[in-house]
Amino acid sequence: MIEKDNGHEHTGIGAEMKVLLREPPLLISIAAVFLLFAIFIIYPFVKILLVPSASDWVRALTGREYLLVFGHTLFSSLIATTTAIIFGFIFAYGINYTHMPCKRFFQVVALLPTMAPSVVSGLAFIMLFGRRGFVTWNLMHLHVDLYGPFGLWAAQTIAFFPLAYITISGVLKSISPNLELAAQNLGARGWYLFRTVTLRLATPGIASAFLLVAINSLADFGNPQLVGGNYHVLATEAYAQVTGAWDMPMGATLSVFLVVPTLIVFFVQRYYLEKNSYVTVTGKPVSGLIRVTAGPMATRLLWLFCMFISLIILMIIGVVILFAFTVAFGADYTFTLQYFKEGVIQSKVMLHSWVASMSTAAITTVLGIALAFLTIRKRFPGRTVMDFLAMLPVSLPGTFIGLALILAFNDGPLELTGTLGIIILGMSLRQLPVGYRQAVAGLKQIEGSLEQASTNLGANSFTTFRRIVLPMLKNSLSVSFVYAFMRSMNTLSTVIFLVSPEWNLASINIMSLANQGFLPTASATAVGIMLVIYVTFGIVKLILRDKINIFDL
Amino acid sequence: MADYVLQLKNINKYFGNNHVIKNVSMNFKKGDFVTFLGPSGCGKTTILRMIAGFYEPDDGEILLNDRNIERVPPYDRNAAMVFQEYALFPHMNVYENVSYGLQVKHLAKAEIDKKVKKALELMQLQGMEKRYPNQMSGGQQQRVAVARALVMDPEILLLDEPLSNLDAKLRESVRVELRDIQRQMGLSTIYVTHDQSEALSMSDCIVVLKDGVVHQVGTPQEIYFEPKTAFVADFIGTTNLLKVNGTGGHQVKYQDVTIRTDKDVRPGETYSVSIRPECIGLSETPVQGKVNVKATIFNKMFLGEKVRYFVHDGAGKEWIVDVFDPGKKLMHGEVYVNFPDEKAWLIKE
Repeated sequence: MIEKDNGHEHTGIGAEMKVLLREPPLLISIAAVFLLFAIFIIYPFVKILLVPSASDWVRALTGREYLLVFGHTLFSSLIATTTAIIFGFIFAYGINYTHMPCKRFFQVVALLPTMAPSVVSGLAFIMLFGRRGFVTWNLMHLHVDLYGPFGLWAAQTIAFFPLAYITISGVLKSISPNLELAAQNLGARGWYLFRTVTLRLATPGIASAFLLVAINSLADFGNPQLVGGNYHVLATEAYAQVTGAWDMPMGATLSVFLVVPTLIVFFVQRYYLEKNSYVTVTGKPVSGLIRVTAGPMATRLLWLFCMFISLIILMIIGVVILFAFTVAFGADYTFTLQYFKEGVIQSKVMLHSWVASMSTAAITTVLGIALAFLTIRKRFPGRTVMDFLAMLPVSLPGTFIGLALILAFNDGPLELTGTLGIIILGMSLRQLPVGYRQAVAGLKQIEGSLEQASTNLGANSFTTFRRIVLPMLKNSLSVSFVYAFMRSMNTLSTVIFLVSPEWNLASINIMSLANQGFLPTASATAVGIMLVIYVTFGIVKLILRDKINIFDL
Repeated sequence: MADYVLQLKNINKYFGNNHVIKNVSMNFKKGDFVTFLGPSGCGKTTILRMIAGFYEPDDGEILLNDRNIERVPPYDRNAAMVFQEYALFPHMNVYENVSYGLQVKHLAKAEIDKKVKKALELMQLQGMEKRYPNQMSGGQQQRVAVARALVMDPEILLLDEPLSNLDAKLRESVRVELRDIQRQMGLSTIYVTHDQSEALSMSDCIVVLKDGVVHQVGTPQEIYFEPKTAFVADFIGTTNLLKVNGTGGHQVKYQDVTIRTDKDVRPGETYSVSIRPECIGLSETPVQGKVNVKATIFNKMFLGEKVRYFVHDGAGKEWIVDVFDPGKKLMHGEVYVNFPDEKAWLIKE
């Protein structure tokens, strides 16, 4: 995230310190940020490491069942990530390299799952292929049990497909069409051109997308809980240890275990792949050039594939809607609003989710821009540390963050357990990297000379920020606001340890209702979340009057 | 017939409702260095890309060595192109970049080695085989891009503003070098630029384009001294364009001054006359045998080898006059602008 020092006149910690002392407001805000980070990031993460005793570590490292769970976690997320990435790549290639019909439709459908909690694909899987699934039981009269690794693989593949598609689509878009034209000009075409140029150029980006999806599927809680059956993974096992066996130290140990692979992934991505990316090498983007498109045969196959994926997604959303609005789908097809009333209209959890997610979106957007302004535009000792801490939560599994927070704020002066505050805190930690990264990207696009020009014309730092920087960042800020809101509405793993009977959330409700067999109400809640997200988008769009379109990815 | 390497016949191209190329026809002689010159948006790059096959003309024919290439896909046209941003493959080193097109053709390893070596020698890139594009300067990258195109032994070489990303000094030396290599190899070349000094100094033939229309095709001297349209006169170099009225009998009038021309003029019709600043003299009294216009100097710039004077004539028209080998003493005040009749180039539009 951090640029090299571009010829700044002061170098060295001493000189940087001197500049800081000349600007007390800056010094105070930097100190405040570090204090916040110390209390809400460093302290909980140190605390969770200290909870397990030596014997807990030994128990976890030698117990066969825990090693099995560890293996399950790695295996299931590896295969789900692999398929999600392959599907995402083919889909993104179809969207970006062909002129196939129904493209707009595909683009919209592919992103629908991001508006619902990822657990919805598990929920739909149960309703379609479960023991009493609509397809397996009602249509085919089969007695099958797909709970376990296979069901988990299917549910996670679909759940993480949109993330893979969005990320890879961004990678493909950033490849200069000129390179492919040059290859064509030199005689290459079709598969050869794809293999030697397009794929090779996309590889670092795909690897990066792979790691991003891997972090998410390693940490996934909802799908393993719903369709994993007896196939336990670290996130669900840690939850079972804490809530079932009341073994807090073992829960903490397993959560820390989960951090190991995600942290490795994080470091590989951050310090290896980003430096080996080709994307920025060729300089200025070229506009108005058409890409080399796939041949007619390839286009037809890609179309079939995109249609197939789109239909699966529509089937998932469709079955959720049908379950939500019929008395008993599969047996009694009468239309009813009863479940929707129960799950959405009369439900306090929906309101809680909305309040918590809105607060999170506001906090992370504001904090993100403040942090980005400090790390990008200012020079001070500890800048890289600040950048690192702001990005760190992106690699941490939600269950780990949640557990760390309840362990840290269970008592003492900052007792937050059981409050709305700790929920917002958890969500904010989780979303901070997103807001921060958006703001960094936005700020880097604004040339420093614009701010210097403003200062030169007599504006102070604050006025410059308000009149120049903020308006130019409007777009990327509204994107991060909307995104943080959406992710927070849908998060499950981060808040699973943080909710209380008094402060429960809609996403949690979907899972607990589904676990207890109340599939229609769970479905209605999922539909409710999607509606709330969509309506909120609409409102944000009206207020900001900007052109953000979540489907334009 | 076979003298032409490339022929464009009534080419038209639309982008949506935008008619970007309007009925362009021309022939390119073998071994010529032809430059497309025009302001940005004039369609020069579009024509180049149509020749390479990246766009298809909506109308008209392109013949490459007498073969209609309408149905030939870009990867089968032997028209190697050097891109403005070079478009070097960032994941390949110099050797891999230059040999890419040969490997596509499945040539034998030894042959590829030989050809790449020759191309790299020609572009003075020996010893750089293992470097990656991001480890090279802009000038070196540009050489690799040219080598990559030359190694294909193309029927025609297409260059899309290849020098625009280089600094001024480098640009000038690469100009000479490129032209040398092109001459040595006898390579038919089309060069796209908006830089008139590049066009004038390198080309056998210049095609001046504006808004998708060919304004003039000619040698650099023809383009400079005998512009066919006011646009060409104004775009190439600096000139003084006068609005004049025909009086018949090879004579036009600028205000009350008569200018003789060797072209037929019709009485009452309006024409333009182009006179280059370096063809004009300044004197305190009218000069016999020349056209004299009374004017006042209002500004001057000393540029070393010359002084550039800015003067107003009686009608308020602003003239630019270059006086070479000026000495230390500068002129000022009321003067006569004078030039021989034959230096006034009449433009019929």
